[in-house]
Amino acid sequence: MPYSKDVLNFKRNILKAAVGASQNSYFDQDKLILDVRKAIDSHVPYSGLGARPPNDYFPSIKIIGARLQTTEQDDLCHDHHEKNTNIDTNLIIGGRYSSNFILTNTPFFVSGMSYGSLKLPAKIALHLALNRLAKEGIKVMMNTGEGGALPWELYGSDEARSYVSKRRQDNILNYAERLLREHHLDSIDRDHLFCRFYPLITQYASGRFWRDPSYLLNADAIEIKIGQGAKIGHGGLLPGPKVTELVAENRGIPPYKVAHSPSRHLDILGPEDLVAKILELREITDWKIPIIVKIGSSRVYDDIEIILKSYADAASIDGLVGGTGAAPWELRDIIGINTLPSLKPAKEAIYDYYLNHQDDKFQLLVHGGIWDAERIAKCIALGASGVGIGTGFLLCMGCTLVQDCYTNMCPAGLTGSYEKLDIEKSIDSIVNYVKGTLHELKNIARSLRRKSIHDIRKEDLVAMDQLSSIASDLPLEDGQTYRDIIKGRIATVLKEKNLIGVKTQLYTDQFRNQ
Amino acid sequence: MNNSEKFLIRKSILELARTGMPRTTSIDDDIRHNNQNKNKYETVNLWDYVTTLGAQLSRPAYDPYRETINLDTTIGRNSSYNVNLTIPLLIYENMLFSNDVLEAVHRTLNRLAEEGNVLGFVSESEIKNTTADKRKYPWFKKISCNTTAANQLKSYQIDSPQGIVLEYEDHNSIKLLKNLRKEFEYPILVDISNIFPNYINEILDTGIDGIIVDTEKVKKQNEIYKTKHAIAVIRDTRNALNEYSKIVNKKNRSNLYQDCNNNNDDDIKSYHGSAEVTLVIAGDVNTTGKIIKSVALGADIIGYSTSMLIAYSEIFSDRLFEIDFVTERVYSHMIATKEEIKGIPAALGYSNFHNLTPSDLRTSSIEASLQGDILLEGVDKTYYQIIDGLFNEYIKENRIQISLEERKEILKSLVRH
Amino acid sequence: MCGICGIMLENYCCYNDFPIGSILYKMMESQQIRAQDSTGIAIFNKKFDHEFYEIEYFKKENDKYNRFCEKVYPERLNTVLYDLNQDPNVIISTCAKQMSLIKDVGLVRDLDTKYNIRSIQGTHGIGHLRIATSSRVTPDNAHPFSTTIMADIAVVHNGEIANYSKLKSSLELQGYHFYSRCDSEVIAVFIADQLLKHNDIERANHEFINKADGPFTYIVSTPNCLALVRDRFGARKGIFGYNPGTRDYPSFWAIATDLSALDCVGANLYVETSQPGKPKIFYKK
Repeated sequence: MPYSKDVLNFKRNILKAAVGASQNSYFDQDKLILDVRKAIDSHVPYSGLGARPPNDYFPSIKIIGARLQTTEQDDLCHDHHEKNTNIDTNLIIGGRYSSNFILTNTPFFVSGMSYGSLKLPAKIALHLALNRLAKEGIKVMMNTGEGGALPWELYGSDEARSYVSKRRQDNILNYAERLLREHHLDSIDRDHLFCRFYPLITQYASGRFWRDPSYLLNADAIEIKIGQGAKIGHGGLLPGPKVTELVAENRGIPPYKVAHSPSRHLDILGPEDLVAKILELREITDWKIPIIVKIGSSRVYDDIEIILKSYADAASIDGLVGGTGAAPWELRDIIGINTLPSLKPAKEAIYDYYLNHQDDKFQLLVHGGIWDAERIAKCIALGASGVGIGTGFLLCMGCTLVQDCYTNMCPAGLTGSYEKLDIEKSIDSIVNYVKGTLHELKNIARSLRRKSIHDIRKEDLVAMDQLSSIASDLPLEDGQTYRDIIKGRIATVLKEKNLIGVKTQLYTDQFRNQ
Repeated sequence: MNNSEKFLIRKSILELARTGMPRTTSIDDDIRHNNQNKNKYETVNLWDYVTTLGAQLSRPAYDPYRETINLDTTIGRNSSYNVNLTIPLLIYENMLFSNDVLEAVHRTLNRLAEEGNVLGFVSESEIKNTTADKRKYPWFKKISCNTTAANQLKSYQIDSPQGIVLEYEDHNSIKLLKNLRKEFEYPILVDISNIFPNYINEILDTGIDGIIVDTEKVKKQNEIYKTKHAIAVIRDTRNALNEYSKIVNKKNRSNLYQDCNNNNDDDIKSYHGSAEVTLVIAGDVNTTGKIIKSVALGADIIGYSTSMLIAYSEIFSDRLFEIDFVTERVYSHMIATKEEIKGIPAALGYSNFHNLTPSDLRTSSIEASLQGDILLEGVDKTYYQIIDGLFNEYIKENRIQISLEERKEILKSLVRH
Repeated sequence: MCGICGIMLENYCCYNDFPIGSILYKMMESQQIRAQDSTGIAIFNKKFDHEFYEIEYFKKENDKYNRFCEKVYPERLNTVLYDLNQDPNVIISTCAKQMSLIKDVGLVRDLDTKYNIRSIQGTHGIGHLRIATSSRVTPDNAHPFSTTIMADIAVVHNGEIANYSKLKSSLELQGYHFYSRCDSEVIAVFIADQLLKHNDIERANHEFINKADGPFTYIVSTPNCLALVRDRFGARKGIFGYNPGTRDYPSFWAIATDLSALDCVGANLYVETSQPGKPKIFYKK
């Protein structure tokens, strides 16, 4: 955030004061600005995007033998006919209790970024890009985010529009017109806009920001959001300046007042409430639509265990580093655990559950700090079925990671009203990003001689240091696990103390007694 | 995320976005390469490696905007002469600040106390002010062991503070403490940073109500803690207090079944009082995140000096010192900090701030796990427990006999590797 | 934790032989779809009042839980408890004189097949259906929980005691023994400890409401009463209703989590939600 001169002077004076007070000589300069903001604004300072803990785990894990670009050698090793075979990168969600399922052509999808935290140009860019990709045969899912769906997402087909009355149709079109006019996007082709060829997940969050039953009925999947990785235990947050009239209309809340969603669904306080809620949604949707439950990763084993028993089709975990439009700074930084260590307890919960139950298609989706193909492959190898990407899509649309999303002054025009986003360029970038990532995933599978990206297993990974080895239960590069290394140390120490001799003595005694 | 990592990530993704073709190196490759060239001696702050577990399904979250979160703390083992704070912070005056600065702080504390936000203030002398504004917040008078005992007792009888903070110097201070306890009924807190971790039980047996540990002081003066982090200091202090509680509870239980024939006044006070000793942690805890983590590790109250610094920093500005302006600033800062402190326990599933426990913490660093006995992310065991478990497996597999002391020694050396 | 239910007969003297187990069974069956991990009941009957204590415990052997039951005369009680406490694999589930406490993993239907709970007679009782939140699904973690501090106390609980470890360690410091890892056990031990001090069930519950954190609704039952308690914020449901009975059928008060459970046993008069933070006590007349 561009701080004013007063603020910076204030910060400098506090540093001088800290040096003067001999006791507390240690001061974190980055956090000091928070104290200044609190002293001036008198409310909790927010921040955008995700936390950046010092240890991310991903760089400490390697896929043995994987390459992002394949060479002729790889192609030669494959059967000549199969040289251009499609490596399977499909993701299927649903089918456990729902009669329908979603089939996408990529194992990754667009995480929920709401209309409100993202401005309309960014949402339109994503919508049109995914349409274009779907027409080219690459279907990518998108999640609406907490703030409700946009008219062309829900009513993107004539069939969907035919279920509503004429008057309602007019209202919807009128609202769409106002949205486009507000953001000076009149030039967009309406027919081009009002269609949807990709699967849509609607998010059922604690704020309940929709007033239209089609939100649940026209969706391809419903995601019940218990929490998100950025602000676990805290509800959705949209600062006042970003709640414009149109955002307020879409959500059904008063404009220009900060929107605090409740920290929990007011009717879901425990496991039996979740069961009741999911059964209710099943009844509404006739048991057709897949239901996903999203949690922020903290008590992963217990939460996944509850979700497994609650008639959901899939679970989605969001790590500490997940991004957001606005979150209280300190809360975002200190609550939650990283994405990679949360995969292990999730897999354990699923494994323990299926020891006593028949195997059905339960999927595990994961989000939080996953930006490129190599990270996607690592998550899949560690047990995820699919991966959600949020910040990655923002980055290719031009995000500069200044983390000012909540101020309404985004320099790239994604989350702020003042800069203009080049929609055509963004669409091209998103299409390239998806295609490039997909190509890289296929190359990784190909370089490991697999037919499908889902065939990459834990055995293909190694850890580079002891901590990652413990957190993900992977061996180190020389083949030893952390257990072997520690036991080796134990043996050395015991030998130094001549304690191994006791065992020899025991055996000698036994021999003598025979 | 430091700026160099942000740059790498952006560069990598923009390349994909521009070309649509596979890259040569991945983001992780770039970060690994970058780390190799990084300054190996960059100081690492263990606080940043510790996070807390939020409330989701297995434990539901509370909503701080709609449900009241309790921050109340009581200092005092005696139920009639306690100090009740509604925000668990003690503002410290560490050096001689000018009268203007003190006046600003005094007004802020008064204004907060009027609205029900009661914090404590620790200083050598009461803030004498020009506006004759009566003090509405609890003041703890700081006395040192240097001046003679007689002067000590006299001075505080005039000032009438709500509590006393004594800085423990050496073993001679214990006599002063015993006399103080006899004369003064209100809470006594003792700063034991100079002699930490020795003599704690002896000091607590005099019947004092709480101890203060300044992690910065301890790290500077104590050989063992010079290489350790504040996390280790807080954890060790809390362990020592828990040990003391066990002893007191045992004595109390056995005293329930016998007549108390003790004529020694001191003994009666220490046995029949509760074991509720307040732990105040000061030094190096200057952001809300650290406050929460310290309380989870075992602190009850935090010695907080940022407010003083904000007031004091005005001296360095070009403006003329305006008391009202500075008061407003410190007040805003305190209100925002209170909101932050309320918001986080609610997100962890607690409606009372003091219910945070060490099992709510997780860490992504082996060093932090060892120093603070904190569970590692993903495995939910401390590093020591992992080593202990593998050691048991090993000696079982190899049928080695080993005594308890040898075992302790070996585990220590294994962990230090 | 999921569904709790309770029943208190109004004029038990006329209906001494009435199998209240069947009413509890009906209530639990109606809620079964929401929680299927484990189930349990505790029924009080003055006729059970033996001169000896019934100590039931599980012994864990290689992940299997075997049930044992011992009849202990009062003089030997302390020694027996002491010996059992030495074995880390022993989990004492019941210490009772007037109470019959039965719990196991699985559905309530299975519990009835195994132990014939529908035919158990008594004056008042409680029942529970569990969906595990934080401890494993094993017979010892099923509700109701009782404690060896005081006989004939049973607690069923819906919710989560957030500061469970703090309460547990302070009670352990006072010398009490815990057997399971389920947070609901702390309610039984806490209330028993309070009753030992002043024998006032209302005050004991108020103390717990003040000290405990997290959302909870529980029913604690003693030989004389049932108490329905909700936390300060009323986060979890708890309602009760009255069935006036007919000539052949007794009148009773029923407690449940959900209205449908009250409906299925006809307890739809004077239906009220229990006030958050105020224990609602049903005394045996």
